[in-house]
Amino acid sequence: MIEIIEWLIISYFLTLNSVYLLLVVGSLIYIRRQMQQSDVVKPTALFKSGIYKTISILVPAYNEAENIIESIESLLRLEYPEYEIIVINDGSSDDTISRLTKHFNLEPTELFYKESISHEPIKAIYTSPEIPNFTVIDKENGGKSDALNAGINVSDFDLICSIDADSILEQDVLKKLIQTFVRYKDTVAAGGIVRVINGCKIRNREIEEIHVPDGFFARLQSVEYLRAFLFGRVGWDYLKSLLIISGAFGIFDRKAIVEIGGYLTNSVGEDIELIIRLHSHFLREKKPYNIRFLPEPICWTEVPTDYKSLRNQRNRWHRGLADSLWRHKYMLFNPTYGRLGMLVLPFFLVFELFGPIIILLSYLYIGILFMIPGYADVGFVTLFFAVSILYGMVVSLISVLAEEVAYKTYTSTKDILVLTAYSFIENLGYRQLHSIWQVSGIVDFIRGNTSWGNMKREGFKVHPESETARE
Amino acid sequence: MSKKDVVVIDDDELTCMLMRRILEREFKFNIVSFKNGLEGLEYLENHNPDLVVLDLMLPGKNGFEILKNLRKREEFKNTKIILVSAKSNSSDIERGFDLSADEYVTKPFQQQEFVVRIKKLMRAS
Amino acid sequence: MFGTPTYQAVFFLVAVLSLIFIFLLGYTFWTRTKNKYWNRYGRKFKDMFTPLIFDYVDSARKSNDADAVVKKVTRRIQDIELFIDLVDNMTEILSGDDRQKLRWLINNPRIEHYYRKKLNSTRRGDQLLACVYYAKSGVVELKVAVELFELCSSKNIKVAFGAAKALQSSTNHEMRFYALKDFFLRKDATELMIGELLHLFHHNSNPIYQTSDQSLKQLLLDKNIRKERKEIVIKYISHHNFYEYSTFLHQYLQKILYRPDNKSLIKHLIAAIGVLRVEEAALLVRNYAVYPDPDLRVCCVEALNQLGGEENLLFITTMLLDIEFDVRKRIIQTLVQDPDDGHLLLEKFMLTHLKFITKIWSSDLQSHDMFVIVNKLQSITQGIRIASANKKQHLKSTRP
Repeated sequence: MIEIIEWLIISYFLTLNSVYLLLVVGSLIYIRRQMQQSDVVKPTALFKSGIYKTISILVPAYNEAENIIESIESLLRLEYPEYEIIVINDGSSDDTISRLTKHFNLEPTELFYKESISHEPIKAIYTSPEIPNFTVIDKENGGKSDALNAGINVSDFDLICSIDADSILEQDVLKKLIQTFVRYKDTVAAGGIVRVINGCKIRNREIEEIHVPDGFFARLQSVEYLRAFLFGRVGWDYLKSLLIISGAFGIFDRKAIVEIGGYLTNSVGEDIELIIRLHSHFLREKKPYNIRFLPEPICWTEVPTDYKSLRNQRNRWHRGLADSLWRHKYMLFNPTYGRLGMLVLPFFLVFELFGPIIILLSYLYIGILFMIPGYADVGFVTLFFAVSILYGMVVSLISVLAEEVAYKTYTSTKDILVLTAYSFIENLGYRQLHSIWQVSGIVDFIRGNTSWGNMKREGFKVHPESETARE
Repeated sequence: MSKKDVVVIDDDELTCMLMRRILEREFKFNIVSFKNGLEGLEYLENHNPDLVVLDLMLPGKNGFEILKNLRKREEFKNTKIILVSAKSNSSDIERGFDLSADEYVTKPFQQQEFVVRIKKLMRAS
Repeated sequence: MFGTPTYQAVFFLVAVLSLIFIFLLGYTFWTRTKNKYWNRYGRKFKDMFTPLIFDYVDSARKSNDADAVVKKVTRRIQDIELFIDLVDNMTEILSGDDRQKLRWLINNPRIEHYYRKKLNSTRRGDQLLACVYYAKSGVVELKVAVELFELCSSKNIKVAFGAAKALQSSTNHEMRFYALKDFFLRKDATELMIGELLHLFHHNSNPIYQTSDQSLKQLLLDKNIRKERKEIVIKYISHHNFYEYSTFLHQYLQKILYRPDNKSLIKHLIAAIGVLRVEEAALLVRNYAVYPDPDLRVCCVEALNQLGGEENLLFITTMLLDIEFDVRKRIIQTLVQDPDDGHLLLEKFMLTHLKFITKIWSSDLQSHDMFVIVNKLQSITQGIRIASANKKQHLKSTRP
C-alpha cells in the first residue's frame, strides 16, 4: 500500500517535470527556427503591399490617473500604419478622466455602433480633435472584462488588442504580431512573451536597459516567468494547444470575440476563460481556427514585490484557472474537442490545477514518515527530493540557458548569474510556498470567493530622466 | 566673424557624421550632435544655436514635436531650422513648413545640394 | 525497493545539473565576450573606413578609382561584409553622383569576384551571403543569373528567397518575372515573403516596358498558384493604383464562380474594382451585393460607393434595410459622406418609410415584422444623425 503511494508520488513528479522539460527543449528548437525565419522577411514590405489588418488597442483603466497619460503617449508612438487606441474609464474614483480630458483636449462625441455584447452603461464617449485615432469611453464601473466588452462594441477594426494600463509595449510589437495573423490563416487570438519590468532602466516609457530586479520576490518571478510563461507557452503553442494568453497583452479577431459573446464579467480568470471558450466554440462548430503565441518579448509588466500582493495574485490566478476549468468541464474527455479535450485539458486539470494539492500531500507524507521513528526510507526520500527539487532545478536552469541562447535580453552577465542562482533558490521553498497559495486558491474557489484583491502598485513616475522602475 | 553654432539631432550615426563633415568643411561651424530627441531638447533649453538640423524620426521625441516646441520660444524665432527625413510624402513636407521649418531635405540627398541650401539660409540671416 | 538504482538516479541528476550549470556559465561568458569583441571591431572598422569612403566620394572621377579604397579592405569575410554594409547604408543617405560613386565601390571587380566564389559554393551560409550581395549590387552577368536561378529551386527556403530577391535587381524583366513566378509556386513560402518579393518586383520594374503590364496577369491566371497568393497580388494592384489592370480584373470577376473557397478572392476583386473605379463592373458588383455573406455585401457597398454615380448610390440606398448592422452602418457612412447627393437619397428614403409606418400604425395592423422594421429605422435614424454630426465636426476642424 505504502509502496503504491510512494510510486504514485514519484511518478507524478517525474511526469510533471519531464513534460516541462520536453516543453522547454521543444520551445528552444522551435524558437531558433522561428528566429531564423524572421530575419529573412522585412515587416515594412508587409505594409507596402497592403497586407495587414487594422487594430484597436483597448486600454481598460480603473484609477490609473498616475500612469494613464504616459501610457497613452507611448501607445501613440507605436509603429503601425492603421490602428486606434480606445481607453475605457471603468468608473474610476480618482481623476483619471479629467486628466485625460485636459491633456488631450477631449470633446464629447457620439459614435454609431451595435451593442453586440452587454455591459454597464456608458456615460459618455470622447474624442480628441488633434489626435484622430484616439477615443475615450467613460462608463459605469463593471470590472476589467466589462470595460473590454464596451471597447469591443465601439471598435470598428479587424483586430482588438487588450492590454493593462501599466503594460509597456515594445514599439514594433504590432508589426511583429500582425505577421502571425498573416502567416496563419484563421488566427483568432495571439499572445506574446510577457517580461518582468521591475529592475529595468526606463526613460520616457521606453526601455533602455534590461536588468534583473533587486527584490527577492521579484527575482524569483523573473525565473518563473522565463520557465513557465515563456517556454511553457511556446511549447504548448508548438503543440497547437495554447490555453493561456496573458491578460497583460493579447490580440484577438474582433468578429470571433463578438461571435462567442465577449468576456465573462463574473469570472476571476477572464483571460483563460476566454481562450478556452474560443477553443470550445470553434471546435464545436468545426470551423478552422488558430490560437498562436509569438515567441518574442513584446510586453513588459510590473510584478508584485511584496509577499502579500504576490500571494493574492497567485491565489487569484489559481481561482481563475479553477473557475475556467469548472465552467468548461464538459470538454474533458470529450472527443468532440479533439486533442484539447482528451489530452490538454485533463493535463491542466491534474497537473496544473490539482498539482499543488498533490505536492503538498507528498510533503505531508514525508513529514509523517519522519515523525514515525525508524520508518523513514532514506532511499525514497532521496529519490523524492531528486525528482521534485533537483529535476525542477534542471528545468529552471535550462530555461535560463534557453533565454541566453535565444534572446540575450539581459544586458549584463551579472544578470544571468543572478538568474542562475535564483533558479536554484526557486525550487528550494518558493515553489512549495507557491503551492500553498494555489491550494488556498482552490479552497477559496470552492467557498465562492470572487474578489480581486489589491496589488500595491507604485506606478511609474513622470520624469524625463531615466530611472529604475521602483520596487 | 564669429563661428556659428549648429545643433544636429539625428539618430542615424552615419547621417550625423556626414553632416558634421559637410558643415565643418564648407562652413567652419561649431557642431554639437545628439542621437536622441529628448537629449537634444534638453541641450537647447540652455543654448541658442544659429542653425538646427533636425531629423523627423527620432527616439524620445519626434522631430515635429521638437520643432513646435522650439518655435514657441522667443529666442528661437530667428534660428534657422532644417528638417531632414527619409519620409518624402507631401503631407509630411507640408506639415514641416506649416510648423515654420526653414527647409526640408529628404534622404537620400546630394551633398552639393545640401551645401547650397544651407548657404542660402545662412545668407538670409 | 529504492536501493542503489535510486542513488544512481540522484547522482545522474546532480551530474546533469552541474553540467548544465557549467555549460551555461561558459556559454554566457564566451558569447558575451565574443559579441563585445566583434562590436568593438565593427566600431573600429567603421571609424576607419567612413572618412575614407567620404574622401573617395569627393575625389573619385572614374570607376577604377574605387580600387584604391577596396585594396584597403582585407580578404576576410567579416571585413568585406562590414564594408559592403557600410557602403550600402551610405547609399540610403546620398543620391545622384555621390551614390553612383558608392555603387562603383560595391561593384568593384575584386569584391564581385569574392562573392562570385561564394555563389558557387555548396555551403548554405555562403550562398546566402552571395544572394544578399547580388541583391545590392545588381545582377548583370548571365552566369550569375543562371547560378541564382539554380538557388531559387533550393530546398532551403531562406536561400531560395534570397536568390529570388537577388534576381529582382536584374535588368532583365523576364528574369525577374520568372524568379517571382517560381517563388509563387513554392509550397513553403509564407505570405510575408510573397508580399515582399512582389513589392521588390514592382519597385525595380522599368515603367517604360509595356510587358510589366502583362506579367501580374499571368500570375493571376496560373492555375497552380494558390488563391491566397493571388489575393495578395490583387491587393497589391489596387494598393498601387495599376489602372491598366481594370479590364482584366473585370473579366476575371466575370469568369469566377461563387464558391465557398472563392469567397475571399471575390471580395478582393470587388475591393480592387472599387479602388480602381472600374465602372463597367458596377452591374456585376450589384449582383454580388445581394448574396448571403454579410462581409461580401459590405465589400460591395464600399466598392459601389467608390464607383459612384447616381445609379450606384440609389442601389446602395435600397439596401439600407439590410439585416446586418455592419452593412447598414457602412451604407449610412458612405451616403452621409458622399459629397453630392447622398444625403438627399437618405432623406427620400426616410420620408418614404416614415409615411409607410404612420399609415400602418394608424391602421392597427401591427405585427412582429413591423417591429423589426421600426427598430431598424430607429437605428438607421440614429446612425444618420451621428454620422452627420461627426461629418460636420470633421469639416469644422479642417477649416483653415
